[in-house]
Amino acid sequence: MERYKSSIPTCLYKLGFIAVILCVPYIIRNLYYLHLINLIGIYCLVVIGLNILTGYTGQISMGQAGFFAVGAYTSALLMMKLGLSFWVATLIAAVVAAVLGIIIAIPALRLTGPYLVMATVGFGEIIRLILVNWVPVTRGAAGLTAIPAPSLFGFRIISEKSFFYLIYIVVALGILIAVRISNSKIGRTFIAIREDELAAKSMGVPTNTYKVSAFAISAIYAGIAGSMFGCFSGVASPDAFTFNDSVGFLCMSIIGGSRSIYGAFIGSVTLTFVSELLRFMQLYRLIIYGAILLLTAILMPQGLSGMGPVFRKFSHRWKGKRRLHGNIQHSQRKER
Amino acid sequence: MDHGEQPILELRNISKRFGGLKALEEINISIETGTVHGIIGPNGAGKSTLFNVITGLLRPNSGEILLKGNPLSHIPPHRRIPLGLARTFQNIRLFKNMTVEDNVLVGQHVHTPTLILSIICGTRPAIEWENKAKESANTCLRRVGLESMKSQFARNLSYGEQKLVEFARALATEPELILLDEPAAGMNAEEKAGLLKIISKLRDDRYTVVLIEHDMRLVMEICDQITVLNHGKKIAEGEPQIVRNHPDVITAYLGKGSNAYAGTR
Repeated sequence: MERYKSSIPTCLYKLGFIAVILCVPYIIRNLYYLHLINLIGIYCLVVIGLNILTGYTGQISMGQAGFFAVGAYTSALLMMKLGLSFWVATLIAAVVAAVLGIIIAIPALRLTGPYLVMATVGFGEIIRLILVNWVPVTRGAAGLTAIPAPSLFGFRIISEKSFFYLIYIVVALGILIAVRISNSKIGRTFIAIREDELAAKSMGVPTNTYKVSAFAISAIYAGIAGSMFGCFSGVASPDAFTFNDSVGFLCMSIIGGSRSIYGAFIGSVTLTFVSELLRFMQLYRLIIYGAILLLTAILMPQGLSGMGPVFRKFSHRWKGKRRLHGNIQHSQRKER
Repeated sequence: MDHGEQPILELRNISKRFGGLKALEEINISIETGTVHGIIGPNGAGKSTLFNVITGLLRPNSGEILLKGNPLSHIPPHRRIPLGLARTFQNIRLFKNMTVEDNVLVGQHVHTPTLILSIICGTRPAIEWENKAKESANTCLRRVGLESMKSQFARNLSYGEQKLVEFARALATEPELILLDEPAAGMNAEEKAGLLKIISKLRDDRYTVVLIEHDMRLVMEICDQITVLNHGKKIAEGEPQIVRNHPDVITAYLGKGSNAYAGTR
C-alpha cells in the first residue's frame, strides 16, 4: 500500500512533530496545564475506543465510563492487594474490561438505536452502583486512595512530566493501532455494519462477531485508560465514573468527529479546555455542552476532524485560485 | 443447457407463511448450472420472499433447499456466501458512505483472511492480502464497467450505477449462483442494454444467474428458463416462448378473458 511509503519531507515533518511533542513538558512549565494535557491523553484513549465502536461500527455507547472504571479499579486493586506491577495490572485490567465488553455486547446484539443506548447507560450505572455498594473490596463511596505509582526499571513515574511520557507513548501506540485497524479490512467491515447490517450479512460478514469485537476493542481502550487514570490521580472513587462522564466521552467523540481516529484527540482537547474555561460557570456547563453538540450536529456533522477539507478550501482560496485545482487533487491523493 | 448434470439449486416443497398469509406454497424449482433463470409474477407474488428464503434471511416453514446437492436449511445467511451464493437487493442496499471500491471490497470479505496481528503490526501479509483483494475488486468493477468510478462515494452515483455497484459487490463474493432482485428497475434503455450484455457474459463464463424482473422484454430476451409465481404458487415454468403463451400466466397478468391478447404480447 502506498500509504506506508512516505517521502523524505513527510518523514521530516513526522520527526519534527514527534520532537515537538517530546518537548512539550519542557515548554509548558505550568503544572496545571501539564496536568490537563495528561488528562487529555487519557480521555483521548477512551474516545479512540468509542470512535471505533460508535463512529465506525455504529453502536452508540453511553456507558464508556463503566469500562473506564473497571480498568481503574481492577488495576488499582491488583497493585494494592496483590502487589503486581503497573504493567501486569494494566494488562489484566484490559483483559477484564474486554471480557465485560463482550458480556455487555451479547445482549446488545439484539438492540439498535435508542434501545442500545439505554442498555449501555444501564451498564454504566450497574458498574457505578457496584463500586458504591461493594464496600469490602471497593471501599464504597470513599474509593481507593494511595494507588501506587507505576515504575519502569526502578524509575518511579510520579511527576506530571514522567506521566506525560507514559501517557503519550500509550496514546501514540493507541492511535497507531486504531488507525491501522480502521484502514484495514476490519475497519471496512465495521463501517459496512454501520451503513447496512443486513447487506453486510448478505456479503458473508459474521456481523455478530464484528459487533462483539468492536465492543471489546472499545472496552480495552477504556480499560487501559482507566488503569492509567487510577495511577495518575492516585485515587479512584465512584464519582469519577458517572453517567456524566460517559456523556462527556460521547460529546468528545462527536465534537472531534466520531468517524476519525484523530478526531478522538481533537475532541478530547476541545472539550477538556472548554470545560476548564467554563469552570467559573459550573452550573451552566451542561447547557453549553448541549449548545456545542447542537451546533456540531448542524454545522459540522463530521465533527472538527471533518472540517479539514473545508479549511483547506479556504486556505487555497486565500493563496490564489491558480494553484487551487492542483492542490485539491494533491490533497485528495494524500487522503486516500 | 446441460441436462443430466446436477442442478446447482433445487427447491423442494418450499412453503413460507406470514401469519395467515401464504407467501410461498409448495414451491419446487430446479435451476441448472450455467443458465439464466427468470422469476416473474405480479407484485406480491412472493418473488422477493423466495430470494430471502434462499439466502437464509427468512426461514421457510417447510421444504428443503439444496445448493449443489447440499442442504442449506441450517446454515446461517453469512455462511451461505462462501458456498457460492450471492445476491443483490430490490431497493439498493449499498454502503452509501463508502467508496465504490470499498463497497466491492466488502464483497471480498470471505475470501481474505483477517490477520489481526499482521494488521496491527503493519506487516507484509495483511498488506499483500489487501492488494490482492483490491485487484479482484477492480476486476469485478471492470466487469460492470464502473472501474473509473471506484473512488467515488456510492451515494453520489446515479440509480442505475448504484444497481451495478451492487452487482459488482455480489460478484466479488466469487459466487457460482447470483440472485438479482430487479436489476433493471430504474435503469434507462441504454443501461438496460449494458446490463443485458453483463448478464450474458456471465452466462458465457458459466455463472448461474437467477433474476426477478418486471421488464418483460429483458426477461424474454435473456432467460433460458422462466418460473412464474402468483399468490405464492408456481403457475408456470419453462422456456420463454412457452411461458409467454401460457393461459394461466396471461390470466395472472392481464385478468380473465384476456386470452385474446395472447398473440399480440
